[in-house]
Amino acid sequence: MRFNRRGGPDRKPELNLASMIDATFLLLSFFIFTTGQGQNESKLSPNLRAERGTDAKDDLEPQVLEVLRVDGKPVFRLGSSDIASREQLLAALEALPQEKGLFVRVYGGVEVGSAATAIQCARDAGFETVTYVPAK
Amino acid sequence: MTPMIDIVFQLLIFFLVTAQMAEQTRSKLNLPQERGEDATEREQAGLTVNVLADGRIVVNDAEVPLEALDALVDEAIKVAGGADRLKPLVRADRDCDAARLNEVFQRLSSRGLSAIRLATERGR
Repeated sequence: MRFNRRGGPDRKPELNLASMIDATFLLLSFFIFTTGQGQNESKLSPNLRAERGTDAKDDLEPQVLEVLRVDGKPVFRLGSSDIASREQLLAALEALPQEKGLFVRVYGGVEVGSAATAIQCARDAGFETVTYVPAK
Repeated sequence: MTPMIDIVFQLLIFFLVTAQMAEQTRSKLNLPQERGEDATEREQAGLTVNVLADGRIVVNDAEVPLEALDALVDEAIKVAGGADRLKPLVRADRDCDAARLNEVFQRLSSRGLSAIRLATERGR
C-alpha cells in the first residue's frame, strides 16, 4: 500500500480508502446477487410408498387423495367428490382428521405441478404424514 | 492500492466464472410453483434426479435411461450408509407427465427408499 507522506516526516500517513471501499461494495453486491439466486428453490418431502396388491391391507383405512385427469382437466378426488380448485381442496383437507395421515395417489396423464399442488395443500392443511403413492 | 484492485478484480472474475459453471450444472427446469415446507435444516441430497418436461432423466449432467437409475441409487445408498439415510431430491418439471415421475418413484421405492424430496420453486 502506498501512504501519502507529503508534508514532511512529522505528518501522519494517510490511506486513501476510496478504491478499497469501491471494490468491497462490488464484491458485496456480487455475493448478494449470487446467493439470492439459489434461495428460490424449496422442497416437499412426502413419504414414498409403492402401490401394493389387494392382499396387503392396512389395519386402518387410509385417507386417499387421488390426482387424475377427468375430461381433459386435472381433478383432485377425495372420496366421492371431485375437486377442481386449490382453495376447495385445501378446505376439504382441513375438514379431515390430520393425525391419520394422507395418501396422495397420482395417476399418469396429469402434470407434476398438480401432484405438487396436492402435496402442498396436504401440508398446508396440517397433515404431518403425507405419503406419495405412484399409481401404476 | 492498484495491485489490490487488480487482485480484487481477478477474484471477481473467478467468482463470476465459477458461479456460471455452477449454474450450468443445474438443469434448467420449470419446477412446480409451490411454497414448499419450512425446512429448519439443510439436508444434503446425496442423489439428485432431474426429470425434464419431455420425460428425459438427467443425473449429474448426464442423460440416463430409467433402467440405469438402479445402479446410481445403489451407489448413492452405499455412500450414504443405508437406504434409510438417503433422501434423494427429485427435480421434476411441472409440465412433465406424472406417469414419468411415478416410474422414477417406483424405481426409487424398489431400491428400499421410503422418503423423497420433490423440488419446488417458491412462487406462491
